[in-house]
Amino acid sequence: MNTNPNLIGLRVLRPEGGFVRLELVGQITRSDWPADYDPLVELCGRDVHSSKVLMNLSQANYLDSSGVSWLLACNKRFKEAGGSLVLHSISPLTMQFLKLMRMDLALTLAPDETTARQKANGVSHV
Amino acid sequence: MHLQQYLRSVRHCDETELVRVSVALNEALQNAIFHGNLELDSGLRDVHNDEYYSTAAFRRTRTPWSERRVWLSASESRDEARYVIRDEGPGFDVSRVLADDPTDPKNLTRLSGRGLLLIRTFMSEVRFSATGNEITMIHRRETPKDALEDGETHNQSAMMQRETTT
Repeated sequence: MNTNPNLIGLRVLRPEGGFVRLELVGQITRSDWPADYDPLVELCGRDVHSSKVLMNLSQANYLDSSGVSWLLACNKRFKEAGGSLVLHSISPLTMQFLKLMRMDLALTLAPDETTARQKANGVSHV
Repeated sequence: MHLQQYLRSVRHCDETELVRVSVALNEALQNAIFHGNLELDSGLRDVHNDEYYSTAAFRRTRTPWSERRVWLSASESRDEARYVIRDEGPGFDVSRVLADDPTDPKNLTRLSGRGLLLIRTFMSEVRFSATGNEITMIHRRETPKDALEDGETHNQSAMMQRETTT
């Protein structure tokens, strides 16, 4: 399924408690992606947006506006499909960028995975 | 990228600040390519996100868009990094774009419009040409006096061109 694994450092972790657990390492930017490429769909399939997904960003060290655009587009698809996306354990620099753009109000963020699970179970999308 | 490596070598800033400069530089280059040379309206991304990128891919292979270049002039020293980026597109209304606040609650879920916020936040000084197709970005070291303590100076000036097809 994952035909372009090197375009973003996204990988699947062992699923637990009905959650899809992901880790994103490195840069969150879509500047080099093909037009129809979505790493989340490539990695987890087209029905991923109806799942509860926890994405660990502790190793994410770069975020730009195109990366935020991708996260927002993902969030919208999750909302439409009845799933949820929670970003958690976010590295300080990435969190600084997200807060600068007020993404703490637009995306679902959690300080750790435990809190992320709670938010995913009772998440209310903004 | 080469500019990032050189900025590190002249000890212009720490690694965190280096990321910020890199983000600003990348945002300006992306703006020049997508909004400048390829003439893509960022509003298209909000309505049809996939179409935005497929249109970009199409125009990269068609004239006049494919013949346009982005020009980058960089001067980096321990005290100051200065970048001038110019595209060959028709330009844009700078005042209108600068008045748009992506942190306004009504704009938070928009997919576009955050690049300039990052550039203006991370750079010490940002200027646009009257036609909007050239941006000058300056990043200054916070304690420039320190840079002269060993009498060492590094300067680099380079003219590079980046094709819209890259």
